[in-house]
Amino acid sequence: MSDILRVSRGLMLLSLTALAACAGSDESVRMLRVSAAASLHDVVTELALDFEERSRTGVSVELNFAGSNVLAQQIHATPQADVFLSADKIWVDDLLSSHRLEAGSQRTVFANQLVLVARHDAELTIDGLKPLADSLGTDRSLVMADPEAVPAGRYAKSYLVAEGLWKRVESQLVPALDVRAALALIETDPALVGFVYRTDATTSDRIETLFELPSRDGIDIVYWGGLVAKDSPHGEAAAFLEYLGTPAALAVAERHGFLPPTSRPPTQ
Amino acid sequence: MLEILLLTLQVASLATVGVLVPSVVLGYALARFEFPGKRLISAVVGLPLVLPPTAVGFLLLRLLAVDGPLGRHTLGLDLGILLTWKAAVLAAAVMSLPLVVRTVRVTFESIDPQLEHMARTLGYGPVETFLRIVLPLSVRGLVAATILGFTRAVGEFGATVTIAGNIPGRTQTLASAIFSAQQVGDHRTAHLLMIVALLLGLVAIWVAESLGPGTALGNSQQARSRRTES
Repeated sequence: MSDILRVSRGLMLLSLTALAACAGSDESVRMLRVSAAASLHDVVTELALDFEERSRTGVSVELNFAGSNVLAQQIHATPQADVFLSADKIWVDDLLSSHRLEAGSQRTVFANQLVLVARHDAELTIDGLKPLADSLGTDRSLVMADPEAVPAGRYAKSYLVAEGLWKRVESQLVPALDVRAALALIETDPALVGFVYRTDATTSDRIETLFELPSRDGIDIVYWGGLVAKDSPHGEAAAFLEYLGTPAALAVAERHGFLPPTSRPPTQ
Repeated sequence: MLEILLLTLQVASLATVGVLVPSVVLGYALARFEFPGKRLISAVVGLPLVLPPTAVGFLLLRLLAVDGPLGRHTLGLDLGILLTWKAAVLAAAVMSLPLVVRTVRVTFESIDPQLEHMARTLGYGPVETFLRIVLPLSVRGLVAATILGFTRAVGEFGATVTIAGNIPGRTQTLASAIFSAQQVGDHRTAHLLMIVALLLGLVAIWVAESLGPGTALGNSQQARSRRTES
Protein backbone atom coordinates (compact mmCIF):
# COMPACT_ATOMS: atom_id res chain seq x y z
CA MET A 1 0.00 0.00 0.00
CA SER A 2 2.78 2.43 0.94
CA ASP A 3 4.40 1.88 -2.46
CA ILE A 4 1.24 2.90 -4.23
CA LEU A 5 0.87 5.91 -1.97
CA ARG A 6 4.44 6.96 -2.58
CA VAL A 7 4.15 6.60 -6.36
CA SER A 8 0.79 8.30 -6.56
CA ARG A 9 1.93 11.14 -4.31
CA GLY A 10 4.90 11.66 -6.62
CA LEU A 11 2.68 11.63 -9.68
CA MET A 12 0.22 14.05 -8.09
CA LEU A 13 3.03 16.46 -7.31
CA LEU A 14 4.34 16.21 -10.85
CA SER A 15 0.93 16.78 -12.36
CA LEU A 16 0.24 19.78 -10.14
CA THR A 17 3.49 21.38 -11.25
CA ALA A 18 2.51 20.49 -14.80
CA LEU A 19 -0.87 22.17 -14.42
CA ALA A 20 0.69 25.25 -12.90
CA ALA A 21 3.31 25.44 -15.62
CA CYS A 22 0.85 24.93 -18.44
CA ALA A 23 -1.86 27.25 -17.16
CA GLY A 24 0.37 30.28 -17.46
CA SER A 25 1.62 29.65 -20.95
CA ASP A 26 -1.77 29.13 -22.55
CA GLU A 27 -3.10 32.66 -22.38
CA SER A 28 -0.68 33.80 -25.01
CA VAL A 29 -0.80 37.04 -26.89
CA ARG A 30 -1.86 36.43 -30.43
CA MET A 31 1.13 34.72 -31.85
CA LEU A 32 1.75 34.31 -35.51
CA ARG A 33 1.44 30.58 -35.94
CA VAL A 34 3.43 28.97 -38.72
CA SER A 35 2.95 25.29 -39.58
CA ALA A 36 5.99 24.16 -41.54
CA ALA A 37 7.16 20.93 -43.15
CA ALA A 38 9.57 19.08 -40.84
CA SER A 39 12.43 19.36 -43.34
CA LEU A 40 12.28 23.16 -42.92
CA HIS A 41 12.95 22.96 -39.16
CA ASP A 42 16.32 24.69 -39.00
CA VAL A 43 15.83 27.27 -41.74
CA VAL A 44 12.35 28.37 -40.64
CA THR A 45 13.40 28.52 -36.98
CA GLU A 46 16.21 30.89 -37.95
CA LEU A 47 13.98 32.94 -40.27
CA ALA A 48 11.23 33.25 -37.64
CA LEU A 49 13.72 34.74 -35.16
CA ASP A 50 14.95 37.16 -37.80
CA PHE A 51 11.37 38.12 -38.69
CA GLU A 52 10.60 38.80 -35.01
CA GLU A 53 13.66 41.04 -34.74
CA ARG A 54 12.76 43.01 -37.86
CA SER A 55 9.10 43.37 -36.90
CA ARG A 56 7.99 46.77 -35.64
CA THR A 57 4.82 45.34 -34.09
CA GLY A 58 6.72 43.04 -31.73
CA VAL A 59 5.13 39.95 -33.22
CA SER A 60 6.21 36.59 -31.90
CA VAL A 61 6.17 33.54 -34.11
CA GLU A 62 5.13 30.09 -32.93
CA LEU A 63 6.29 27.19 -35.06
CA ASN A 64 4.79 23.76 -35.59
CA PHE A 65 6.80 21.10 -37.44
CA ALA A 66 5.44 17.85 -38.84
CA GLY A 67 5.00 16.04 -42.14
CA SER A 68 3.16 18.26 -44.63
CA ASN A 69 0.25 15.80 -44.77
CA VAL A 70 -0.16 15.87 -40.98
CA LEU A 71 -0.12 19.68 -40.93
CA ALA A 72 -2.71 19.78 -43.71
CA GLN A 73 -4.97 17.45 -41.71
CA GLN A 74 -4.56 19.72 -38.68
CA ILE A 75 -5.58 22.77 -40.71
CA HIS A 76 -8.59 20.82 -41.98
CA ALA A 77 -9.54 20.12 -38.36
CA THR A 78 -8.90 23.51 -36.82
CA PRO A 79 -7.79 26.88 -38.24
CA GLN A 80 -5.19 27.26 -35.47
CA ALA A 81 -2.43 28.27 -37.84
CA ASP A 82 -1.83 31.41 -39.87
CA VAL A 83 0.76 30.31 -42.40
CA PHE A 84 1.25 26.87 -43.96
CA LEU A 85 4.58 25.88 -45.52
CA SER A 86 4.34 22.57 -47.37
CA ALA A 87 7.00 20.35 -48.91
CA ASP A 88 4.51 19.19 -51.50
CA LYS A 89 2.14 21.24 -53.64
CA ILE A 90 -0.63 18.64 -53.39
CA TRP A 91 -1.36 19.61 -49.77
CA VAL A 92 -1.62 23.28 -50.65
CA ASP A 93 -3.99 22.42 -53.52
CA ASP A 94 -5.96 20.13 -51.22
CA LEU A 95 -6.50 22.91 -48.66
CA LEU A 96 -7.24 25.47 -51.37
CA SER A 97 -9.95 23.31 -52.89
CA SER A 98 -11.71 23.03 -49.52
CA HIS A 99 -11.29 26.79 -48.85
CA ARG A 100 -9.03 26.26 -45.82
CA LEU A 101 -6.35 28.38 -47.47
CA GLU A 102 -7.02 31.84 -48.78
CA ALA A 103 -7.48 31.66 -52.54
CA GLY A 104 -4.61 33.32 -54.37
CA SER A 105 -2.33 33.45 -51.32
CA GLN A 106 -0.28 30.44 -52.40
CA ARG A 107 3.26 31.02 -53.58
CA THR A 108 6.48 29.13 -54.02
CA VAL A 109 8.91 29.63 -51.16
CA PHE A 110 12.10 27.63 -51.58
CA ALA A 111 13.33 25.07 -54.06
CA ASN A 112 15.33 21.95 -53.48
CA GLN A 113 17.23 19.66 -55.78
CA LEU A 114 18.10 16.00 -55.96
CA VAL A 115 21.78 15.09 -55.88
CA LEU A 116 23.56 11.78 -56.33
CA VAL A 117 25.76 10.98 -53.34
CA ALA A 118 28.15 8.26 -52.23
CA ARG A 119 30.65 7.78 -49.44
CA HIS A 120 33.96 9.58 -49.81
CA ASP A 121 35.88 6.29 -49.76
CA ALA A 122 33.82 4.96 -52.70
CA GLU A 123 35.99 7.29 -54.82
CA LEU A 124 33.51 7.47 -57.66
CA THR A 125 33.18 9.85 -60.55
CA ILE A 126 29.70 9.65 -61.99
CA ASP A 127 28.58 12.82 -63.71
CA GLY A 128 25.16 12.05 -65.15
CA LEU A 129 22.18 9.71 -65.22
CA LYS A 130 23.47 7.64 -68.12
CA PRO A 131 26.89 6.96 -66.52
CA LEU A 132 25.00 6.16 -63.32
CA ALA A 133 22.92 3.51 -65.07
CA ASP A 134 26.09 2.08 -66.63
CA SER A 135 27.88 1.88 -63.29
CA LEU A 136 25.18 -0.10 -61.49
CA GLY A 137 25.60 -3.82 -61.27
CA THR A 138 26.13 -6.68 -58.87
CA ASP A 139 28.67 -4.65 -56.89
CA ARG A 140 26.77 -1.36 -56.84
CA SER A 141 23.16 -0.52 -55.97
CA LEU A 142 21.09 2.64 -56.15
CA VAL A 143 19.31 3.90 -53.02
CA MET A 144 16.34 6.27 -53.04
CA ALA A 145 13.30 7.01 -50.93
CA ASP A 146 10.41 4.70 -51.84
CA PRO A 147 9.71 5.70 -55.48
CA GLU A 148 6.02 4.83 -55.17
CA ALA A 149 5.15 6.66 -51.97
CA VAL A 150 7.68 9.31 -50.96
CA PRO A 151 8.09 12.56 -52.94
CA ALA A 152 11.90 12.32 -53.03
CA GLY A 153 11.66 8.83 -54.52
CA ARG A 154 8.91 9.89 -56.90
CA TYR A 155 11.06 12.75 -58.21
CA ALA A 156 14.09 10.47 -58.66
CA LYS A 157 12.00 7.97 -60.58
CA SER A 158 10.57 10.73 -62.81
CA TYR A 159 14.08 11.79 -63.83
CA LEU A 160 15.08 8.25 -64.70
CA VAL A 161 11.82 7.58 -66.55
CA ALA A 162 12.27 10.82 -68.54
CA GLU A 163 15.71 9.63 -69.65
CA GLY A 164 14.40 6.16 -70.48
CA LEU A 165 16.71 4.63 -67.87
CA TRP A 166 14.19 3.47 -65.25
CA LYS A 167 13.89 -0.10 -66.58
CA ARG A 168 17.67 -0.48 -66.53
CA VAL A 169 18.20 0.65 -62.93
CA GLU A 170 15.06 -0.92 -61.44
CA SER A 171 16.72 -4.26 -60.65
CA GLN A 172 19.56 -2.55 -58.74
CA LEU A 173 17.19 -0.41 -56.71
CA VAL A 174 17.17 -0.25 -52.90
CA PRO A 175 14.08 1.66 -51.76
CA ALA A 176 14.31 3.32 -48.33
CA LEU A 177 11.60 4.48 -45.94
CA ASP A 178 12.30 8.14 -46.62
CA VAL A 179 15.10 10.37 -47.78
CA ARG A 180 16.75 10.46 -44.32
CA ALA A 181 16.77 6.67 -44.23
CA ALA A 182 18.29 6.61 -47.73
CA LEU A 183 21.07 8.93 -46.56
CA ALA A 184 21.74 6.82 -43.46
CA LEU A 185 21.95 3.70 -45.62
CA ILE A 186 24.43 5.27 -48.06
CA GLU A 187 26.59 6.38 -45.12
CA THR A 188 27.05 2.74 -44.10
CA ASP A 189 28.28 1.19 -47.34
CA PRO A 190 30.67 2.41 -50.09
CA ALA A 191 28.95 0.04 -52.56
CA LEU A 192 25.84 2.22 -52.50
CA VAL A 193 25.04 5.39 -54.40
CA GLY A 194 21.77 7.22 -53.99
CA PHE A 195 19.55 10.22 -54.52
CA VAL A 196 18.92 12.61 -51.64
CA TYR A 197 18.01 16.29 -51.49
CA ARG A 198 20.94 18.69 -51.61
CA THR A 199 19.80 20.00 -48.21
CA ASP A 200 20.34 16.50 -46.81
CA ALA A 201 23.70 16.13 -48.51
CA THR A 202 24.99 19.25 -46.73
CA THR A 203 24.31 17.68 -43.31
CA SER A 204 26.63 14.71 -43.70
CA ASP A 205 30.42 14.84 -43.78
CA ARG A 206 30.73 11.16 -44.64
CA ILE A 207 29.35 11.51 -48.14
CA GLU A 208 30.18 13.55 -51.22
CA THR A 209 27.95 14.89 -53.96
CA LEU A 210 28.69 13.32 -57.35
CA PHE A 211 26.30 15.42 -59.41
CA GLU A 212 23.18 17.52 -59.10
CA LEU A 213 20.01 16.92 -61.05
CA PRO A 214 18.99 20.12 -62.83
CA SER A 215 15.32 21.01 -62.53
CA ARG A 216 13.46 20.18 -65.70
CA ASP A 217 9.97 20.56 -67.10
CA GLY A 218 7.37 18.82 -65.01
CA ILE A 219 9.74 18.03 -62.16
CA ASP A 220 9.87 20.97 -59.77
CA ILE A 221 10.98 20.28 -56.23
CA VAL A 222 9.46 23.30 -54.56
CA TYR A 223 8.14 24.26 -51.12
CA TRP A 224 4.82 26.07 -51.21
CA GLY A 225 3.35 28.53 -48.76
CA GLY A 226 -0.18 29.79 -48.21
CA LEU A 227 -2.29 31.78 -45.76
CA VAL A 228 -4.84 29.91 -43.67
CA ALA A 229 -8.35 31.25 -44.37
CA LYS A 230 -10.00 32.81 -41.31
CA ASP A 231 -12.46 35.52 -40.37
CA SER A 232 -9.86 37.71 -38.70
CA PRO A 233 -6.50 36.92 -40.27
CA HIS A 234 -3.34 37.71 -38.33
CA GLY A 235 -2.00 41.06 -39.47
CA GLU A 236 1.53 39.72 -39.88
CA ALA A 237 0.71 36.50 -41.73
CA ALA A 238 0.92 37.94 -45.24
CA ALA A 239 4.01 39.91 -44.24
CA PHE A 240 5.75 36.72 -43.09
CA LEU A 241 5.03 34.92 -46.36
CA GLU A 242 6.24 38.01 -48.20
CA TYR A 243 9.38 38.14 -46.04
CA LEU A 244 10.35 34.58 -47.06
CA GLY A 245 10.84 35.88 -50.61
CA THR A 246 13.18 38.73 -49.63
CA PRO A 247 16.89 38.52 -50.52
CA ALA A 248 17.79 38.40 -46.81
CA ALA A 249 15.55 35.40 -46.19
CA LEU A 250 16.70 33.63 -49.35
CA ALA A 251 20.32 34.13 -48.30
CA VAL A 252 19.57 32.30 -45.04
CA ALA A 253 17.76 29.55 -46.97
CA GLU A 254 20.72 29.14 -49.33
CA ARG A 255 23.03 28.73 -46.37
CA HIS A 256 20.86 25.76 -45.37
CA GLY A 257 21.15 24.28 -48.87
CA PHE A 258 17.86 25.49 -50.33
CA LEU A 259 17.55 27.32 -53.64
CA PRO A 260 15.42 30.33 -54.53
CA PRO A 261 12.18 29.03 -56.07
CA THR A 262 12.55 30.60 -59.49
CA SER A 263 16.20 29.95 -60.15
CA ARG A 264 17.04 27.14 -62.51
CA PRO A 265 20.46 25.69 -61.86
CA PRO A 266 22.44 25.48 -65.11
CA THR A 267 21.59 22.39 -67.12
CA GLN A 268 24.37 19.96 -67.78
CA MET B 1 16.60 20.72 -23.65
CA LEU B 2 15.44 20.98 -20.03
CA GLU B 3 12.20 22.52 -21.28
CA ILE B 4 11.59 19.51 -23.56
CA LEU B 5 12.36 17.02 -20.78
CA LEU B 6 10.10 18.82 -18.29
CA LEU B 7 7.18 19.04 -20.71
CA THR B 8 7.60 15.35 -21.58
CA LEU B 9 7.56 14.37 -17.90
CA GLN B 10 4.58 16.61 -17.18
CA VAL B 11 2.56 15.30 -20.11
CA ALA B 12 3.40 11.69 -19.29
CA SER B 13 2.59 12.04 -15.56
CA LEU B 14 -0.73 13.77 -16.25
CA ALA B 15 -1.64 11.10 -18.78
CA THR B 16 -0.67 8.33 -16.35
CA VAL B 17 -2.64 9.84 -13.47
CA GLY B 18 -5.62 10.35 -15.76
CA VAL B 19 -5.50 6.76 -16.98
CA LEU B 20 -4.87 5.05 -13.65
CA VAL B 21 -8.25 5.39 -11.90
CA PRO B 22 -10.41 4.42 -14.91
CA SER B 23 -7.99 1.55 -15.55
CA VAL B 24 -8.36 0.18 -12.00
CA VAL B 25 -12.16 0.35 -12.25
CA LEU B 26 -12.23 -1.13 -15.75
CA GLY B 27 -9.52 -3.69 -15.01
CA TYR B 28 -11.38 -4.92 -11.91
CA ALA B 29 -14.70 -5.07 -13.77
CA LEU B 30 -13.11 -7.06 -16.61
CA ALA B 31 -11.32 -9.38 -14.19
CA ARG B 32 -14.23 -10.16 -11.87
CA PHE B 33 -17.59 -9.63 -13.56
CA GLU B 34 -19.51 -10.89 -16.55
CA PHE B 35 -21.64 -8.23 -18.18
CA PRO B 36 -23.11 -7.55 -21.61
CA GLY B 37 -20.66 -5.85 -23.96
CA LYS B 38 -17.65 -6.99 -21.93
CA ARG B 39 -15.78 -8.25 -24.98
CA LEU B 40 -16.64 -5.15 -26.97
CA ILE B 41 -15.34 -2.84 -24.24
CA SER B 42 -12.21 -4.92 -23.89
CA ALA B 43 -11.66 -4.79 -27.66
CA VAL B 44 -12.26 -1.03 -27.96
CA VAL B 45 -9.89 -0.27 -25.08
CA GLY B 46 -7.29 -2.52 -26.69
CA LEU B 47 -7.54 -0.86 -30.12
CA PRO B 48 -4.75 1.73 -29.64
CA LEU B 49 -2.40 -1.22 -29.07
CA VAL B 50 -3.00 -2.63 -32.56
CA LEU B 51 -3.72 0.51 -34.59
CA PRO B 52 -0.80 2.55 -35.88
CA PRO B 53 -0.43 5.58 -33.56
CA THR B 54 -0.89 7.97 -36.49
CA ALA B 55 -4.26 6.34 -37.22
CA VAL B 56 -5.32 6.87 -33.61
CA GLY B 57 -4.13 10.46 -33.97
CA PHE B 58 -6.21 11.05 -37.09
CA LEU B 59 -9.29 9.54 -35.41
CA LEU B 60 -8.86 11.88 -32.43
CA LEU B 61 -8.19 14.79 -34.79
CA ARG B 62 -11.44 14.16 -36.69
CA LEU B 63 -13.30 13.75 -33.39
CA LEU B 64 -12.07 17.09 -32.04
CA ALA B 65 -12.12 18.98 -35.36
CA VAL B 66 -14.16 22.19 -35.47
CA ASP B 67 -16.86 20.32 -37.43
CA GLY B 68 -16.27 16.94 -35.71
CA PRO B 69 -18.51 15.18 -33.13
CA LEU B 70 -16.69 16.89 -30.23
CA GLY B 71 -15.97 20.14 -32.09
CA ARG B 72 -17.21 23.70 -31.70
CA HIS B 73 -19.99 23.37 -34.31
CA THR B 74 -21.49 20.34 -32.55
CA LEU B 75 -20.95 21.21 -28.89
CA GLY B 76 -21.42 24.97 -29.19
CA LEU B 77 -18.21 25.54 -27.27
CA ASP B 78 -14.56 25.13 -28.03
CA LEU B 79 -12.84 22.56 -25.83
CA GLY B 80 -9.54 24.15 -26.88
CA ILE B 81 -7.64 20.88 -26.88
CA LEU B 82 -6.11 20.60 -30.35
CA LEU B 83 -2.53 21.82 -30.75
CA THR B 84 -2.11 22.41 -27.01
CA TRP B 85 -0.40 20.47 -24.20
CA LYS B 86 -3.84 19.02 -23.36
CA ALA B 87 -3.86 17.25 -26.70
CA ALA B 88 -0.44 15.78 -25.90
CA VAL B 89 -1.83 14.46 -22.59
CA LEU B 90 -4.89 13.05 -24.36
CA ALA B 91 -2.79 11.30 -27.02
CA ALA B 92 -0.44 9.83 -24.43
CA ALA B 93 -3.37 8.71 -22.26
CA VAL B 94 -5.22 7.00 -25.11
CA MET B 95 -2.07 5.20 -26.25
CA SER B 96 -1.11 3.97 -22.79
CA LEU B 97 -4.64 3.03 -21.67
CA PRO B 98 -4.63 -0.49 -23.18
CA LEU B 99 -1.29 -1.36 -21.56
CA VAL B 100 -2.40 -0.14 -18.15
CA VAL B 101 -5.85 -1.79 -18.30
CA ARG B 102 -4.34 -5.09 -19.40
CA THR B 103 -1.69 -5.14 -16.69
CA VAL B 104 -4.22 -4.14 -14.03
CA ARG B 105 -6.67 -6.78 -15.23
CA VAL B 106 -4.09 -9.58 -15.13
CA THR B 107 -3.06 -8.43 -11.66
CA PHE B 108 -6.61 -8.66 -10.35
CA GLU B 109 -7.23 -11.97 -12.12
CA SER B 110 -4.23 -13.45 -10.35
CA ILE B 111 -5.76 -12.79 -6.94
CA ASP B 112 -7.78 -15.72 -5.62
CA PRO B 113 -11.46 -14.65 -5.54
CA GLN B 114 -11.87 -16.93 -2.48
CA LEU B 115 -10.01 -14.33 -0.44
CA GLU B 116 -12.64 -11.75 -1.32
CA HIS B 117 -15.47 -14.18 -0.52
CA MET B 118 -13.90 -14.88 2.86
CA ALA B 119 -13.57 -11.19 3.63
CA ARG B 120 -17.21 -10.69 2.74
CA THR B 121 -18.36 -13.57 4.98
CA LEU B 122 -16.30 -12.04 7.79
CA GLY B 123 -18.29 -8.84 7.50
CA TYR B 124 -16.34 -6.59 5.13
CA GLY B 125 -18.43 -4.56 2.68
CA PRO B 126 -17.52 -4.64 -1.04
CA VAL B 127 -15.59 -1.35 -0.89
CA GLU B 128 -13.75 -2.35 2.27
CA THR B 129 -12.89 -5.70 0.70
CA PHE B 130 -11.48 -3.97 -2.36
CA LEU B 131 -9.48 -1.44 -0.34
CA ARG B 132 -8.20 -3.77 2.38
CA ILE B 133 -7.82 -7.08 0.57
CA VAL B 134 -7.61 -6.60 -3.20
CA LEU B 135 -5.56 -3.40 -3.40
CA PRO B 136 -2.82 -4.43 -0.94
CA LEU B 137 -2.42 -7.72 -2.80
CA SER B 138 -2.08 -5.98 -6.14
CA VAL B 139 0.31 -3.16 -5.21
CA ARG B 140 3.18 -4.52 -7.27
CA GLY B 141 1.03 -5.11 -10.33
CA LEU B 142 -0.47 -1.64 -10.09
CA VAL B 143 2.94 -0.04 -9.75
CA ALA B 144 4.14 -2.03 -12.75
CA ALA B 145 1.06 -0.90 -14.71
CA THR B 146 1.76 2.70 -13.73
CA ILE B 147 5.36 2.54 -14.86
CA LEU B 148 4.42 0.76 -18.07
CA GLY B 149 1.80 3.40 -18.83
CA PHE B 150 4.19 6.20 -17.94
CA THR B 151 6.98 4.93 -20.18
CA ARG B 152 4.54 4.39 -23.07
CA ALA B 153 3.33 7.96 -22.56
CA VAL B 154 6.91 9.30 -22.57
CA GLY B 155 7.65 7.64 -25.91
CA GLU B 156 4.37 8.52 -27.63
CA PHE B 157 4.94 10.26 -30.96
CA GLY B 158 2.53 9.38 -33.80
CA ALA B 159 -0.75 10.36 -32.17
CA THR B 160 0.84 13.25 -30.27
CA VAL B 161 2.32 15.00 -33.29
CA THR B 162 -1.01 14.65 -35.10
CA ILE B 163 -3.28 16.27 -32.51
CA ALA B 164 -0.83 18.34 -30.42
CA GLY B 165 1.59 19.27 -33.17
CA ASN B 166 5.32 19.69 -32.64
CA ILE B 167 5.50 23.25 -31.33
CA PRO B 168 8.86 24.03 -29.67
CA GLY B 169 8.27 25.32 -26.15
CA ARG B 170 4.61 24.33 -26.07
CA THR B 171 3.92 20.83 -27.33
CA GLN B 172 7.34 19.55 -28.36
CA THR B 173 8.12 16.41 -26.38
CA LEU B 174 11.28 14.31 -26.33
CA ALA B 175 9.90 12.06 -29.10
CA SER B 176 8.89 14.90 -31.41
CA ALA B 177 12.15 16.77 -30.78
CA ILE B 178 14.07 13.64 -31.83
CA PHE B 179 11.89 13.49 -34.97
CA SER B 180 12.63 17.13 -35.79
CA ALA B 181 16.37 16.74 -35.27
CA GLN B 182 16.46 13.63 -37.46
CA GLN B 183 14.42 15.26 -40.22
CA VAL B 184 16.99 17.99 -40.72
CA GLY B 185 20.03 15.80 -40.07
CA ASP B 186 20.98 17.53 -36.82
CA HIS B 187 22.84 14.50 -35.48
CA ARG B 188 24.25 16.27 -32.43
CA THR B 189 20.85 17.24 -31.09
CA ALA B 190 19.34 13.89 -32.09
CA HIS B 191 22.04 11.97 -30.22
CA LEU B 192 21.78 14.16 -27.16
CA LEU B 193 18.00 13.71 -27.04
CA MET B 194 18.33 9.97 -27.53
CA ILE B 195 20.74 9.75 -24.60
CA VAL B 196 18.18 11.61 -22.46
CA ALA B 197 15.44 9.23 -23.63
CA LEU B 198 17.67 6.23 -22.90
CA LEU B 199 18.48 7.43 -19.39
CA LEU B 200 14.82 8.12 -18.71
CA GLY B 201 13.89 4.62 -19.86
CA LEU B 202 16.65 3.04 -17.79
CA VAL B 203 15.54 4.92 -14.66
CA ALA B 204 11.93 3.84 -15.19
CA ILE B 205 12.92 0.18 -15.63
CA TRP B 206 15.29 0.39 -12.66
CA VAL B 207 12.50 1.78 -10.47
CA ALA B 208 10.17 -0.97 -11.68
CA GLU B 209 12.74 -3.67 -10.96
CA SER B 210 13.71 -2.28 -7.58
CA LEU B 211 10.12 -2.54 -6.36
CA GLY B 212 10.50 -6.29 -6.24
CA PRO B 213 11.77 -9.24 -8.22
CA GLY B 214 9.94 -9.59 -11.53
CA THR B 215 7.38 -6.93 -10.79
CA ALA B 216 5.49 -6.97 -14.06
CA LEU B 217 5.13 -10.66 -14.72
CA GLY B 218 6.16 -12.13 -11.38
CA ASN B 219 3.04 -10.91 -9.68
CA SER B 220 0.85 -13.72 -10.94
CA GLN B 221 3.52 -16.24 -9.93
CA GLN B 222 3.70 -14.76 -6.47
CA ALA B 223 -0.05 -14.92 -6.16
CA ARG B 224 0.00 -18.52 -7.28
CA SER B 225 2.73 -19.50 -4.80
CA ARG B 226 0.83 -17.63 -2.13
CA ARG B 227 -2.18 -19.70 -2.99
CA THR B 228 -0.28 -23.00 -2.77
CA GLU B 229 1.25 -21.94 0.55
CA SER B 230 -2.15 -21.27 2.01
